[in-house]
Amino acid sequence: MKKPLFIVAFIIVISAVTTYAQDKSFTTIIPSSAPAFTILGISPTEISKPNSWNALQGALYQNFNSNNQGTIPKNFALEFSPYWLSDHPNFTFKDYLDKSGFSLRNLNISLATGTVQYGRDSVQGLGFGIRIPIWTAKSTTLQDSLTKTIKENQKLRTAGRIVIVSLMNSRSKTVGDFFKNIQDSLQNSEQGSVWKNNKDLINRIYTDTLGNSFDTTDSLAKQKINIRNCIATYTQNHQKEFTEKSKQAIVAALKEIAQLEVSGALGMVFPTDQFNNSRISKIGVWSDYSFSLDKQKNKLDATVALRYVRDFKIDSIYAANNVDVIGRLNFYTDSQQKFTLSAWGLLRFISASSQSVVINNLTYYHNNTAWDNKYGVDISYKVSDNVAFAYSFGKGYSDPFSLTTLKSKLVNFLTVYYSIDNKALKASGQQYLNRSL
Amino acid sequence: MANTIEHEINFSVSTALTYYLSVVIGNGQGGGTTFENPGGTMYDDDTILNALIGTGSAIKGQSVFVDTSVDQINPDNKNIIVSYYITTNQITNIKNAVPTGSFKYLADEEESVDFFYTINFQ
Repeated sequence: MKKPLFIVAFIIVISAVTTYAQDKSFTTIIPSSAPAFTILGISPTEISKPNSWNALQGALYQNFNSNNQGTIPKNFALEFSPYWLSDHPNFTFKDYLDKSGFSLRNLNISLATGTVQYGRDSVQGLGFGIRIPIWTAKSTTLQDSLTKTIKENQKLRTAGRIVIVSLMNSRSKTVGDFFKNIQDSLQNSEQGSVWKNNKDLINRIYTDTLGNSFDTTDSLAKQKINIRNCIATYTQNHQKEFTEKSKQAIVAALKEIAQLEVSGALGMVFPTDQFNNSRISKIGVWSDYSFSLDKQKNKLDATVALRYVRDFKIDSIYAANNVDVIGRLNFYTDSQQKFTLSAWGLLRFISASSQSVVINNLTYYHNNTAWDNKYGVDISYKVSDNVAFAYSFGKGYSDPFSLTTLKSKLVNFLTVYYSIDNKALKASGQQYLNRSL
Repeated sequence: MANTIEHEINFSVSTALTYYLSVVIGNGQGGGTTFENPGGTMYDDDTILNALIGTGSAIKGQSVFVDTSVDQINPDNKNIIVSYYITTNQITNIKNAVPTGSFKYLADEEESVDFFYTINFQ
C-alpha cells in the first residue's frame, strides 16, 4: 500500500519542480555529520552554527534552560568553530585558503541531542564531539589558482569602486561633464592603469546604469550620492552569482586537498529526562583520511577511516568495544555533483563482555569476540539547487541482540533533502527496513 | 537599494610627516579597497598596504574618500570586519599594527556591502 502512494508523491514532486541552472553542489544541501551526531547515530534536520560568543551563549541558554532550570532539549544540534567566535581583523581570504599545517583554527566542536536506542529502550541522549584536521596537504598551485578565481570574480566590484571614487573626487559641474571624464579616462589612461585594466566592466556599468538614468545637464553635486548609490546597487546585485561561485570554488578546492582528520565524541543518556540522572553510553575516537583520486576533474574521491567505539554497560547488557575499518568511494558526474554514486563498506571487530562472576569481591567478565560488517551503495540526484533525492541500499549491521545467529538488516531507504536559505533540511523520508535471515 | 555603510573621520596631521593608508578586509572575506590620494594617484587592491596619502603639509585641509567593498565568501564565518590604518611609517607586519579604526558588519550568506568613508585631514 505504501509503495504506490510513494510513487505518486514522487511523480508529483518531480513534476512540480522547475529545472533551474544548478550552481550549488549536493554537499550544500545535505546536513553535515559532525562527531556529536555520529556518536548518537542521528541526522539532525537543522543545525545551529553560532558565529559569536553571544550567539553561542544564546543558543545554549535558549535550548538548555526552561524556567531557570537545566533541561535537555528534544532535538538540538549545534556545530561551531571556536576560532570563528571572535573577529580576526588581519586574517584575509588568502590566509583562509592556506589550510596546510596543523592549526587550532580548524577545530570544530559539536553538540547534539536526540532520541537514541539504549538497550531495548529509546531515551533522550546527548552527544558532544570534536574534530580537527591534523594534517592537510599543501597545495600552492591550488591556492594560487583559487586566489586568481576569487579576484576574477571581484572584477565587477573593482570597476564599480573605481567609478565611485572618481565620482566622489570629481569637481565637474554637471553630470554630463563627469560622464565625459569617465570616457576620457578610459581612452587616455596609460596601459596598466586601473582604468585600462577595468575598461570593459567600467563601460558596462556606464551603459547599464548611468547612461540613461541621469539628466546630463543636472548638477553633479546634487546627483553625486544618487549616482554613487546607483553604481553600488548595480554591482552588489550583479555580484551575488560571482560570490556564490567564489564560495563554491573554495569549498570544492578544499575538498580536493588530502586531509587527515581526528575526531572524538562522547554520548550520554538521560533515562528519566533529567540532568542529574545521566549515564555515559558511548565514547569514540576515530581518524579519517580523505583524498582525491582524480585531481584533474575532481570526479572521484575516497575516504578511509579507523574508528574505536566503546559501548558502556547498560543494566544486564554488557559493555562492548568496537573497532571499525571504513572505506568510502565517491563518484560525481560533474563539479556540482548533480548525480553522485557512493560505495561504502565497514568491517567491525566486536569484543563484548558477557556473563560475569564475582570472586573475592572482584567481578570478572567473560569476553566474546565477533566480526560484523555492513556495506552499501548510496545514489543521489540533485533535482535543483535546493532539492535532492538520495537512495541507499545495502546490508546493515547484524541484530545486536542475536549476534550469535547473525541476522542482518537489509538497508533500503529513500530520503528527500531540501534547503531553505542554505540551511540543509531533511524531509521525513520513506524508510523501509527489511530483515532477512 | 544599495547596502552601504558610511562614515566620516577627522584625523589630525603634522605638516612635517608623511602619511600612509593601509586597509585590510579581515575574517577571510572577499573584496577590495579603492581610493585616490590628494595627489591624484588611485590605489586599488584586495589589501591596501602603505599606500601614500601625502605629506602632512600637502594633505592638511584635504579629504580622502575611500570605498571598501566586501562580499561574504568565507564558508566558516559571516562576520565582516574592515580595518584601516593611517600611519607615518610604512607597516612591515600588519599583524602587529594597531588599526586607526574598523568597521564591523554581520552579513547574510554571500551578501555584499560597501563601506564608504571620508577621512578629513586637519
